[in-house]
Amino acid sequence: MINVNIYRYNPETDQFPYMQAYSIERPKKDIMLLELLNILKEQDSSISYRRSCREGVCGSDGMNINGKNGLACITPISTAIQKDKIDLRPLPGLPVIRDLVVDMTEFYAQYDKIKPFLQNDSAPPAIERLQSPEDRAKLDGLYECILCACCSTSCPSFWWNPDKFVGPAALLQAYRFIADSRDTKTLERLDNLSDPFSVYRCHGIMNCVSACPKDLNPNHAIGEIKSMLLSNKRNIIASDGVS
Amino acid sequence: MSIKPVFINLLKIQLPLAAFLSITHRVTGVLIFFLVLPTSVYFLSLLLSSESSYMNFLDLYMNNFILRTFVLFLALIFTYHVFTGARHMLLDFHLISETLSATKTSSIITLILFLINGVIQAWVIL
Repeated sequence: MINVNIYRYNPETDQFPYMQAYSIERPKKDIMLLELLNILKEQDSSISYRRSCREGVCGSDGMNINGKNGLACITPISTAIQKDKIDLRPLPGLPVIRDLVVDMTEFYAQYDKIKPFLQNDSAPPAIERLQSPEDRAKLDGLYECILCACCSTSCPSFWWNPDKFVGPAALLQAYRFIADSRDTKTLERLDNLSDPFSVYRCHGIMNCVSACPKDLNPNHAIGEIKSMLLSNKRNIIASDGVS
Repeated sequence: MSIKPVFINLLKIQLPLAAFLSITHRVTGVLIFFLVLPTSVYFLSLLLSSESSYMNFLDLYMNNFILRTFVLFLALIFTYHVFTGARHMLLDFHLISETLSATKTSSIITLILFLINGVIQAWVIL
């Protein structure tokens, strides 16, 4: 038997959230946690959670599994289970709409802030903007992010300042466009992040890296942004000195 | 519309060792500002005000175990902050690679160095 404890909250009937315990026969095959949730939903249809692609591509079913953020659809129950018990809670730090469904407005607002699209002043070429294989390789480990919010919602700095600290997910995306050779707004992008909160609230806690279900490293991207911000400042100071 | 609940129970969320170091670095930073610096300055003012107060304080310090333990406590807070801060700066300068294993190893090394240092401090002060 597996004991599954699920965080329950229905704004229409509950004043406070509570944990509800479910018991279920351990499946013979090592199924994914999302499938287990689907089986439980057949027993109790009121359990709410987001899901879509069921293969770790859409990033809908991010949740807190036994204390660690992850995607239910690519987490086998054998790795999630601890002492025959699985605790499922919503992503930390974001307002809960119902059960495991959180309000991601703050998360998307930060993503919006970093202008997540290619900006280039020159006239678009007839076919496409070309990039050398070396320049393209710089985007590896950045473009794969699916915005599931597992990283940002595991970050204590983001819990403190969700409105001012951009958070690991959006910063990874910010660096994805800063590092892109086809983007011409690099300086503006850096300038946009140069205040004390946007980037510098990151203290290298590394929760983002340990939570990322796609094995990406937002901390490294943040480190690169910090270095670029510093060398950028140095250049501005140097050029001021000349003039 | 009622206020939506937020799940943020630190006892139920796994935090890696690096998170522990970062949070305690913060806490010791606050303690240095509000406890270590004011008391150190106060002790220094006691030592420097006159020759007799210097001798009195020295006498008290030598004979009072609780006072020495307190001074050790202040020194430990300060060195803990310095050690975790040094690790943080090494990270900022990219001298520790930003991988999970490297941050974990560096956290363990920082704690071991702090413990060795703490034993030496305790041996000197007590």
